[in-house]
Amino acid sequence: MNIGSYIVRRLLGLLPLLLAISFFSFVIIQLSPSDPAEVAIRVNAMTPTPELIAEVREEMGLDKPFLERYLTWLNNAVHGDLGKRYVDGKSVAGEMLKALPPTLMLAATSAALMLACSIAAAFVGVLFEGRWPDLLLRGLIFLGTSVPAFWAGLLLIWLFAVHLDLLPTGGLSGPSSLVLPAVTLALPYISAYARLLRNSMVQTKQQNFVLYAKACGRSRGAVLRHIFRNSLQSSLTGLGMSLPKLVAGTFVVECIFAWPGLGRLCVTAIFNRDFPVIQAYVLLMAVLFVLCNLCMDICSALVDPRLRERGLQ
Amino acid sequence: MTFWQSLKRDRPGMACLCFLVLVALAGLLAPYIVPYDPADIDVRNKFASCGWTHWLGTDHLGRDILSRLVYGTRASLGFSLLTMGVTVSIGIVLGMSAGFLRGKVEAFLMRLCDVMMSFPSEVMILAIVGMLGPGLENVVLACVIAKWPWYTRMIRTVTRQYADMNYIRFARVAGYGTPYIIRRHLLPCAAGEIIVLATLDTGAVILMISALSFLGLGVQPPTPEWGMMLGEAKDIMILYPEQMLPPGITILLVVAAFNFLGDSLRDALDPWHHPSREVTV
Repeated sequence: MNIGSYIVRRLLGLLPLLLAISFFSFVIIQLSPSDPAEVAIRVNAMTPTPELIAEVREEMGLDKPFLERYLTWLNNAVHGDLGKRYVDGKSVAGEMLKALPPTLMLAATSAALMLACSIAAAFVGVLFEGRWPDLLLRGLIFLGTSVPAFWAGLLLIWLFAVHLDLLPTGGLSGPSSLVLPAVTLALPYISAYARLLRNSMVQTKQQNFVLYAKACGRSRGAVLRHIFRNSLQSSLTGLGMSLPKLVAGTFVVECIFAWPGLGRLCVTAIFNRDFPVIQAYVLLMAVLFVLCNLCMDICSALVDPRLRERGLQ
Repeated sequence: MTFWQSLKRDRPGMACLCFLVLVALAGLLAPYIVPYDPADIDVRNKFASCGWTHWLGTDHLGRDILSRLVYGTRASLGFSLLTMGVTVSIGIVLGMSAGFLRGKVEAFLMRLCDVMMSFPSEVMILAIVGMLGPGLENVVLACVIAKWPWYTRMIRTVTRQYADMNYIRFARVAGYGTPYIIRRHLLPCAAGEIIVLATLDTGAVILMISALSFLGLGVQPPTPEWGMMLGEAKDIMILYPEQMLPPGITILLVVAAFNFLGDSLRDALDPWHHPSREVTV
């Protein structure tokens, strides 16, 4: 099968999944114990009288049957209209678009940091296997997988922003404000990938082709390059899962560093019971996750044609 | 039982297990061992430093930090264990049904799992907490809903591996019912993998519960909880940075112990397993 028809068939296969996702994002708010109309009135500091509730229900279309509301919402969502915020009546899609670039910037910086640090750490681990730099690194990696990200973030703020006064404590103001949030966000991922890559490189090192390359008198760098390329498979698979998680997992870090991104928007919305924002966040993240998985699958299929048949079953 | 024996030989792993049992016991027996009531406010005595009267000092309301840490075990560790218990039970029931009954039940459950797993678990948890509102029970429910598909899927895979083996067929022919076969022949085979995954996940759930409580979405005051204590310490970071240490270190130690124990269990389960200790993110 050629790659074009593979992509088309995968895209068609995604349609039911996307539909299910949109249905879930819609339903989840309907299941909420509080009445959206009442919430919408309360957040505007008005007293919800029965007449007012009935009026707002009609205005919001809540008196229509469930399926009709879902189809209207879906139709609007497809056309880029995700409703209005209860708090100030601003367009949700507009606020989301404003918050998306900071989140993506943070996630991208973290991803770059994660790749650079974990590859460097894995190389140190392999070069010094069993000696003190390797042991030290393994200790640090173990700490990194267990440390709560929000605590690490606080300690970093205290050290670099309060004590040494080198970097801003939070907010988005120039490149220097990106450093602490990106490091905090990347920390658990650096540990996970450094460990994965180091272990798989240590295993690859035992294989015969490495011995052969050494016996042929290849230089140390060339041998290392062979080991590295043959150890990437498991990390690449994980990376496809981690990249969207990096975007979705930003909410804690964004709240600590007052970062004006999507996660903070959603957490604020949860406190305000601002349902349209939560709904839009869930929808956006799920679609992002699905598309990211698709991209990773297509990349793997490009590299390995055997996967094209298997992926469709 | 070889599993238990090889774990016993793993000293650091056993040390982690003992540490966790001690922490859990401290949480259970909290009213009998802590010197102060965790909600006792004593404003004249706020920000007391470490000493004999208050071993770890007092917080911004003069409450004893050590007592709050010990009581916090109930929310952090207790509710994480509850979450994992419920998740694993659901996983066992649904996963075994899917693996045994096959056909439409399996197809339906696996489709459902696919849809659930197409959401990153963080988003799923935020969505459910957003729907139900902040609160510890809602966070637990959210974690269960976000995690059960993974367990269902894994247990179904294990079940399918064993369901066609001869000894299970013999048990069937001999006339044993499905519940008996599951209890006697399937659960022991799947137990190892379930325990390893659940141990590693408990650490992740502790981190999740404390992160949400830190943001104010989980445990509500005045119930003491480690993440919430960190959230309170955050506000006074500039003047009293040392207040961030006790809850942070506690979370770190407990999560590290769970992670290490999970790795030890994995090695104990599979003596030929290269101690590669991979992690999933």
